[in-house]
Amino acid sequence: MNDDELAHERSILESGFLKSGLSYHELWWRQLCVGGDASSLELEAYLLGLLKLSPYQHDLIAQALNEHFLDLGQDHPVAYTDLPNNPF
Amino acid sequence: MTGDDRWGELSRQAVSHGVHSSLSLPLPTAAALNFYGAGVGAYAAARPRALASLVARTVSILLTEGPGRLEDLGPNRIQEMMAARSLIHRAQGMMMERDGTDATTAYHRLAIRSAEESRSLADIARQVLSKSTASTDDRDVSA
Repeated sequence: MNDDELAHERSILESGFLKSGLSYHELWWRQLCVGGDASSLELEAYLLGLLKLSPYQHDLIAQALNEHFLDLGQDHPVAYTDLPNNPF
Repeated sequence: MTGDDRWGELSRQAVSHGVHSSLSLPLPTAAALNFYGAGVGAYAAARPRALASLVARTVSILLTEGPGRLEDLGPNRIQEMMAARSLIHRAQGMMMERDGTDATTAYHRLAIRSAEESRSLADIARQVLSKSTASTDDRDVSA
């Protein structure tokens, strides 16, 4: 996945984050709960486009957002990157 | 414990209290996270060591975030987080061993099921582990 594709994926994640109404801190906590390792600073910097994270770390944040939407009775609106046979 | 003679009296005291294994993992704040086991060689195998490392990694994250980040998190929330991470990592490890895949692929498979079934990743991980245990039990019965 090249830099342009990663930037595009990141912007989708950022849109999901803005739509979620979560704070950076709450999203950081949620990504820990789904197995993520990013620090709160890394997560915030990534969402602001200041830091690169791996597609795997990106997907952990996407999963955290999607579980938030799931709690609200919604589907998984935030796409994952780099999934083989990605159904999203 | 008795296999390492560097700790002298400490080892003897530990054994006398039923502690026969220990694993110490460094943390980033001039501290260490120590695990103690009742069995001999409890941390010799790869999986217990890997799980202990994951726990240490989680503790490291919490410590490096500092008290300001943790003050609004009660012990219950931290315990819930640790439990969910443990489930997910154990399911990942089981799938890696069973399917010969890497951690990323195993995670993606769990994530796909989570999306398809509209359930949390921890729920899917719990189901994967439960099916794995049932399958092992079946093999034990038929053996």
